[in-house]
Amino acid sequence: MINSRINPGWFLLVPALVLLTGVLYVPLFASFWRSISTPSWTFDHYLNLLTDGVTLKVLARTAISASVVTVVAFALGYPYAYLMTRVGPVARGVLLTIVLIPFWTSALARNFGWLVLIYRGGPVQQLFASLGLGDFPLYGTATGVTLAMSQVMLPFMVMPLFSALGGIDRHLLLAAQGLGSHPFKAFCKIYWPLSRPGAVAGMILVFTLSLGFYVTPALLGSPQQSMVAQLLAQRTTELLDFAGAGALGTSVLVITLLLVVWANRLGGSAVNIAGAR
Amino acid sequence: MPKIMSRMTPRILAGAAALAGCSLAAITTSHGQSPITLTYVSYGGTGQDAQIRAWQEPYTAEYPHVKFSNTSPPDPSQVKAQVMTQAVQWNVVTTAPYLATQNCGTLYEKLTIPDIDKSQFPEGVVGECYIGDFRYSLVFSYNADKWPDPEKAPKTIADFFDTKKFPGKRGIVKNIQDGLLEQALLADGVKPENIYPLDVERALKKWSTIKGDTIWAANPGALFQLVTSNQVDMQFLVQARSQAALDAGAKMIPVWDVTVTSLDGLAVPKGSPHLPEIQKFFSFVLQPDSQARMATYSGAAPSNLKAQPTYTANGIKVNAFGPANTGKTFQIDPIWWSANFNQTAQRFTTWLNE
Repeated sequence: MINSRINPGWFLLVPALVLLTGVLYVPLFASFWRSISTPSWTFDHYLNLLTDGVTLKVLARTAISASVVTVVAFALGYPYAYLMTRVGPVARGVLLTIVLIPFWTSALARNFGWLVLIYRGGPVQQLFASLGLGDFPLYGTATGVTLAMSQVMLPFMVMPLFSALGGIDRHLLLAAQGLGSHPFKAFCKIYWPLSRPGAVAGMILVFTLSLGFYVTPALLGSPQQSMVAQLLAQRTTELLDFAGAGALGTSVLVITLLLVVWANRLGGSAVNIAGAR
Repeated sequence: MPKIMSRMTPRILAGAAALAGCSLAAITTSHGQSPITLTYVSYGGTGQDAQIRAWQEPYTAEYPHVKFSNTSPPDPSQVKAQVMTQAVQWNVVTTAPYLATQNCGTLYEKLTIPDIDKSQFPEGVVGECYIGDFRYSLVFSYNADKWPDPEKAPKTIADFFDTKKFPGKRGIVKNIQDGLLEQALLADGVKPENIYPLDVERALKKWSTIKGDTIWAANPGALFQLVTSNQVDMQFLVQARSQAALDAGAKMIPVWDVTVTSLDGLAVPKGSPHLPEIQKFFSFVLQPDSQARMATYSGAAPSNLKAQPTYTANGIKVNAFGPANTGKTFQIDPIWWSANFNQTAQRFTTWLNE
């Protein structure tokens, strides 16, 4: 009776799939269905997003902010992950703990920590004043939100990077240098392409999370510089427009999926280069 | 029902009914007081604490079978979700009158309140789908540390919009239904009788003049925190939170020019159980002594004109309906808002993000 060609291991997936379907896919589909069928079969909700004058602007702002967060997290995370692969086990454990501590604290507590730091008249503003930078407000601005989100997202960048960098064989670099290559060139031609899948994985993760992030923009940002999540919240809780909110959510999901596919294609080409390994 | 039930004594009948669960409570109230718990949803903080002390505890003292379970905040999308799935768990929800009117019969139950004398209330307090549980105002106040000299301090609503003469940060909650557009029009010189229908573009143009200096708080609690930590120099803060800020030691001085007033409402999600009991509770809330207690504890103004609250010293200072207000008041029109909220909210969000 059992088809011998089906690997019985696939059945281990069933509990997780059932949970995901019930908790994630069904509500997502219901939300999408509502956005095209309220009050009757229509695409008006999607068209409204294009013409209401605010959705596109907010989407652009969110995308820019998410990009900046990704770049900053990458710039900070890559050296950190590299360092983690170079030190001994004890130091590595310490570095890992430092990066994971934000995971163990409540997101709300972390954001309130940032609030206390960047308040008008708070420590950061006083530092700016003493450095002669004048009035450079961070609280209630997209800049402040991006800054705080870079810290919040850093663990998500470091973890995939660390696991990818840890798998790179250092002997390849030694071989390159033994063949006469300049260390920097060895890094560019060998180490970096091999680390690209991990880098891309980390960047995709951080970008996707930043695009939909709600807590930091809501607490540290301002309605004047709304991100997509705040717009969605407003549509749901103030306008009670579940269909419009569903349209916005579905659009963001589709855009994110397209970006992930594109990024995978970019990062995936590194697999061919690493094929020699 | 099994034949044997008809032979039981009424006492055992009531006991069995109580055991059978709250869904039978409506049928058995004539036999005995089976306990019910009403879920009461408001904005939390000192405001809800005042509602608990002024209304819920005395009501439970008088009718011990009715208990209250409190939660917050009163998110209307949760009401909509509960009504849509026909699993209504909230019984009493703080709801703006315009929202209850807009969704009367669809999201909120139509109410018949027993034992009240309508002559005790100004018009609009007892609505078709809501009751006005208290009136509140948006008190315009400034930080006394920034302008200590009363001669040089802000005196009119137009001064809020004048950042050249009075530089500094402005604070306001971004709830358009509380009157920020009306305030801009009043500051621009529009006569109160000509405010409605709202000239939204003119109001937004007025706000554009100070847009960069304004901090838009998400809710009164957030603005309260901004005020008490001196993040803003001038603000429009609701009466109850203004009193709380004064109690917390903030150096705020109110400015009485034209103060915009609104009505806070309580509504019942459609399909909520225990509707008769809730209506009885609403009747209790509207009595003069309940109203007086609420006003005394919270600093908000009663909606029952016969209520005689005793305000604290700070409460008197910010009571727009009392003798401290040397200016005028302007009441928001919930009928206009119930018809125009959605498009105005969308226009406002677009403007805010420009």
